[in-house]
Amino acid sequence: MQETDSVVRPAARRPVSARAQRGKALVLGAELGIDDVAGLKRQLGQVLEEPARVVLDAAEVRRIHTAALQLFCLFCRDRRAEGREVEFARPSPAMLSAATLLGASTLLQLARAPA
Amino acid sequence: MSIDLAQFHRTFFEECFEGVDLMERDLLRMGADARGETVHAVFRAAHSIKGGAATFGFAAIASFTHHMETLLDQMRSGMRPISDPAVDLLLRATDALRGLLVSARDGVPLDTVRVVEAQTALEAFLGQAPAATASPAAPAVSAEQVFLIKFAPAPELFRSGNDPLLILRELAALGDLETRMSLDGLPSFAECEAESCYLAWSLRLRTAHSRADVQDVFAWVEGACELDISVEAAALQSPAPTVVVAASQAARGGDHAPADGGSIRVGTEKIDALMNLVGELIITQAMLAQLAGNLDPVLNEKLLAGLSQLDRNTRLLQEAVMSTRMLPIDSVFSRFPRLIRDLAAKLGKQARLTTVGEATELDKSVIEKISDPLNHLVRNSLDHGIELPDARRSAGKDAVGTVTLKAAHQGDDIIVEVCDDGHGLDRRRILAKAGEQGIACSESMSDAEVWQLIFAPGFSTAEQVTDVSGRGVGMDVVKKNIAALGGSVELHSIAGRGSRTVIRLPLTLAILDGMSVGVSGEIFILPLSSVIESLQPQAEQVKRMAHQGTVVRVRNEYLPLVDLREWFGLSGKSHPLHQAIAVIVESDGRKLALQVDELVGQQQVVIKSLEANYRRIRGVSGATILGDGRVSLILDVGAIVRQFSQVQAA
Repeated sequence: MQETDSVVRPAARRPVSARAQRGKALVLGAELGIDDVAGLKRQLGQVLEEPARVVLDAAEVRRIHTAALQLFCLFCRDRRAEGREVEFARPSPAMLSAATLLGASTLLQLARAPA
Repeated sequence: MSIDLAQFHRTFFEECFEGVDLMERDLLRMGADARGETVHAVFRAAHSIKGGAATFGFAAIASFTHHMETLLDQMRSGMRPISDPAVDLLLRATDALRGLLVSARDGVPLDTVRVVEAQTALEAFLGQAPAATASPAAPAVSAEQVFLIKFAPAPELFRSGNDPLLILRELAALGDLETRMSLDGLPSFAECEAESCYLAWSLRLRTAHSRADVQDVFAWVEGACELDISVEAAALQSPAPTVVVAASQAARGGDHAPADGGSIRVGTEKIDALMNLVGELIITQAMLAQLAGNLDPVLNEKLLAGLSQLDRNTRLLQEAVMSTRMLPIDSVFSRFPRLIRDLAAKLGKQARLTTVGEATELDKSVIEKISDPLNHLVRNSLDHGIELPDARRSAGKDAVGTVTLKAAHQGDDIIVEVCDDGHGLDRRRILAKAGEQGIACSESMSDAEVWQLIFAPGFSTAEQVTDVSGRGVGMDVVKKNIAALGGSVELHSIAGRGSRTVIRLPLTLAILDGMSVGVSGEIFILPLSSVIESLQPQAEQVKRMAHQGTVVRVRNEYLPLVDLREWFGLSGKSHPLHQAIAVIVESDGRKLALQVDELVGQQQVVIKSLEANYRRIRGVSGATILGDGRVSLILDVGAIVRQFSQVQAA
């Protein structure tokens, strides 16, 4: 078959579809106080550049400080800006309540997080 | 000062409908678990609608929502339990509220009976005499004030042992708090210090407490933050709202409006215009690329490098614009919990809905069009699939049936599945009904062929016509609608275990993967999804059959042959088939060989509507512009296969 004379675009697969199949899960600890944020930042930093979808399992979170929530906001914003997926799974009531109070549930997309 | 409030009405109604959708969704969740957060969210939605309606002078909406808000307030404060009757009542009130909003927005007549019924029921439930509740919301909130608070903590606030979360929680205890978090000036994740505070908040607090009380909440952080507390012009009492009020109303939206988190509302027509322009740009870029093909690569190295960069950027721009049209399928899935609940109650069945992959994104135009087919399929699952609780128990199943909606990307397609764990399709009954209704069928048909009978026009196995299903205008319409989107439907079923309907759809309707073929010097585009293979048949593979025209034998299968030159009445003489090429295409499970002169290539094409620019032509689904500026027709394989079958049958 000869090369097309009306080159518009070769049929290319969307990379996102392959990516959506995989995912890297990170289980968040129960205590996300101010003393824990340095460790949390290291933990999140390790998956910041992860090309596959990162799933943050927030089922265990019992106590959360604004500093931790701020890290989640920056993490989600930076990943999405690079076209990388991130989502929260099973956010605990403590997590949901903190995000709602701080006005961060839309940015963190907690409304669509799987329960 | 007079302000034209109409300019804000559109935003107001959009936010109200979002609020109503959210109320409905959360009310359904509230029935399942009585968590405090959900009732708070419903209350806030009702509260926002009431406030907005009062601001814009929609007294009836404000008054009606006030009753809902009162009931919700009693539920969230624990004065009244979260019970099924209360949730049912609120769901009915939500329907009435939606009717009120539609009537106010479009000026259509109001279903007053429904609204009055809902309002009377609410009043009766609240134990109030109707006369006492006739006065609108204003007096109840006249003692309240609205404080606008700007709270920007200093970076070292966290280190001083303070947590803004505790401050905001304390504020929320004083009244209704709406929070908007500001992300301005935030460093990147890599650059930030975990223990420094970069966030700031704009808060709106509606409270009966004094300014001093509000100020007190910030007592511990004074000096460690920038704080500005002002009183909002009284929205509810003022007959002519000021610009500030109206603007804040339009921009506000709490956590639920997509306006939060740094996004803006853009009209779809603007995005469509952008999409169109990108389409034109792709065509121009393709034309340049074609012209550049004739240039000497050594002499024109820089120009060619520039063109290749243009190609890359155009591709990125196209993807970026396409992504703005993508919406999560959740916007369709979220309608179903209510449908399942209402239908199950009507049919005396028990059912739950589970959804998987609701964050899967697809083009807005596709989303709008799959809603109806999905509705049909979910109704069918409940009506025909899920058994009555007793029958389920005796079959050893959970009395509560499950309907599952799934969505996932697969290559350039999106797969949407509707599954149920009911009794599956009944082969014997389908065959019997098909026979009765004069649809051609036989006992020797495979299961897959029997399931296809369901898609025949007018087919229904329902014993009696209900308003749920049984009118026989279901699956054929589903199939037609999905085929119109360039998609396909498959049915799977296991007796006693349930059935599964799989819908495969293209991600977008604006671009198509096509195969370009040449006939009489013209280029036609065949959708790649319908092409199976192409071959150059040997002379002995081609046969002429009496009454059936020409057929081609491909691996022991005889396929009817359609000469596209004859089909479109083009000039020139057909080559003998063994010198031409046969492209085998498939639609609705039927195969056809299309005779073409040459295969030109494979490409993505931007679809332009032929109907909008010229007129409808049989066998053509649209047109595209080729790299050399010529218009090329995109063939509607489904229509060609259908028409050819009709011609043969005649």
